[in-house]
Amino acid sequence: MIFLVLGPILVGLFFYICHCKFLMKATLILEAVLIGIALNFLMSSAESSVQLLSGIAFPMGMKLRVDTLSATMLVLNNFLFGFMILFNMHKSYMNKLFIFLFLGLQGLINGVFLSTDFFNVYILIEVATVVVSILIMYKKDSQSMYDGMIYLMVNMIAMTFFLLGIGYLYKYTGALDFDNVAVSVETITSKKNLIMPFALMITGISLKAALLPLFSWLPKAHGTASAPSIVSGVLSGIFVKIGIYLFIRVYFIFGNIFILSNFFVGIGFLTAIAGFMFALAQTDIKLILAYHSISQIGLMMIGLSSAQTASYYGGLYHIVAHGIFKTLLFLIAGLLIETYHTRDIRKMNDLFRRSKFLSVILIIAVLSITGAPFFSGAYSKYYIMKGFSGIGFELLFILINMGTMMSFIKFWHVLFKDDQPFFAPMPSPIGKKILPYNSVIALSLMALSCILLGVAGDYMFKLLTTFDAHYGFLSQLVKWPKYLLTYAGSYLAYQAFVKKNPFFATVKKMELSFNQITLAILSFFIVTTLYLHFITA
Amino acid sequence: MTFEKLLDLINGENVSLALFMIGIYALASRRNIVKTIIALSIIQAAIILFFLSINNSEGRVPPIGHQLSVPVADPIPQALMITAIVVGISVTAVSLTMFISLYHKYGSTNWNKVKNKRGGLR
Repeated sequence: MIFLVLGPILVGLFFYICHCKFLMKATLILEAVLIGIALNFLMSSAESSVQLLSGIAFPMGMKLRVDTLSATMLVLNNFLFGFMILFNMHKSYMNKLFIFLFLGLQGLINGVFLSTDFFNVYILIEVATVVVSILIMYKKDSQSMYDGMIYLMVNMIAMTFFLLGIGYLYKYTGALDFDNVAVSVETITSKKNLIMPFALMITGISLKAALLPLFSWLPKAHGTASAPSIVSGVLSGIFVKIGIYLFIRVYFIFGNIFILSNFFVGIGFLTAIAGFMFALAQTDIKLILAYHSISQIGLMMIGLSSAQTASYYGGLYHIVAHGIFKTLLFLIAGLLIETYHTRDIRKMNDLFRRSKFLSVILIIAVLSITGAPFFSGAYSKYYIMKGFSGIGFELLFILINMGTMMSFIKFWHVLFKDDQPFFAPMPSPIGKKILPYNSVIALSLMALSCILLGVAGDYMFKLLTTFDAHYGFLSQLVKWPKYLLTYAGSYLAYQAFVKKNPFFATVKKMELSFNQITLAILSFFIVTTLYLHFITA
Repeated sequence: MTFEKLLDLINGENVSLALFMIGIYALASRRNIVKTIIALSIIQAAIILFFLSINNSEGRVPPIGHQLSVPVADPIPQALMITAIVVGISVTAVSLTMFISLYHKYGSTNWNKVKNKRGGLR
């Protein structure tokens, strides 16, 4: 178990120190081993397995633990990192420093999912944040300096809130690990004491997870011009999920004390709607994807904080599904930027004639994210929606779905729009230089897993979340007309309302400065505290 | 309220909360990047003070030796804070290094000017 944390870091350090020719191959072997270990945890029938870090039994010592939730996250993490490295094997910037930082990040994220102790989680996230900010400004051009700086500062503020919350928690419960805190929180008589630690911790976590008022750092970090596309992919695919993972942990501990389901479902809806609003306004391909992550995080929050079990497991499944298809989209975006030498999505066209392979992968990813039946997104969204009934919720979900579809209409334009006159020469196909064989393998495997998570959903759902799901082949098939109808509706809505609407031009210019972000954090904290006081009174 | 009671209010916990709020105020109101980094250091100091003063009362002794008859101070927060100090210092060092190269690029220490020079999200 400890190899999951130390293995990548040590191998990265080893290659950083000595110059080895077989560097990339050894890294690939390492990734395969790590995926194997993680899958082994997932397959094993035991409820949870524990490894003590010191020889002392638990209340004194430290331990690593894998349960179902962390096994799922570990598989996702190692799977994504493995394919990122396979994808990028021959890129020129993959030098020893980059590999060291990248593998180090993988080990740190594994550590977050394995540790059972709030303070260890804090330390690991803090170090991972520093590593990520270096990776963001890796190419050192002028835009990314600001992005990296603001990312580091904002996340440090969030982590200080989190640490102060840990301090309060220790003061009132006298424990730091998840289990003991959960036990002693139940016995505390005065609920008012727990408001302060919970509000502080949830403020830090919400910023990490990019909930509604606190997401303005995310597009800068994930969509920055200079970061390599694999860094963007990993950030959106797994790193932002750390916030969600911590949210699940903290929410489980405090869930019996504060009934916050409605509060977070509300925030989830607002986040989802705000996310696609911003995404619609953008024309930069990476920024569309970055804002879109926010929208999907809103969906996950709706599922995870809902009181219904089906929705909760749907949210969990959506973490995995989103991790894979969003990373896939970021990789394709990187390839498109390389091909067209621009980041403006309006200037990319006619991809289908240039590269059939890339188009098929892009279509699979877009179908997954918009929730077409038989693809991974549809399966998880179906379960998230299952817990909610009533016409109001129904309409909200349709609105979010339509928003997602509308923001991906631009991607269909990339595929099929043809600006050239009919007799223009055939555009040059995308060559081997941009798309070498290892990238082809990585892309097709990831696209395959997108389909697998949808078609074999019943089996995968059980495996990943231990929840018995039944959403069979036929019932997915009958959803197709509804999907196509919604898509047609959203295309009409896009043409009618969104295109050339001055409202979106103003949205595009909206950007919070550093001081405003701090104020947003502070006001989120104050609102949460007041709300908690209100419901415990 | 007597003067002694007022003096009792000045304990580690309250002082650390006041420092925390001062740090947040500086973050929210100052535009200078160096001052932002300083404010983060203030917050870190506040948190260290907070951890050291929770669960502590008068008359506690250090947990050293075999025959301890009086109650001892809680050693866990102190062990945690050693780690937090190390992490805090390295974070400050990293952000200062980043600031130097940012200053070379933009030639300004003001968040808003830097943001304008970056030229928005394109």
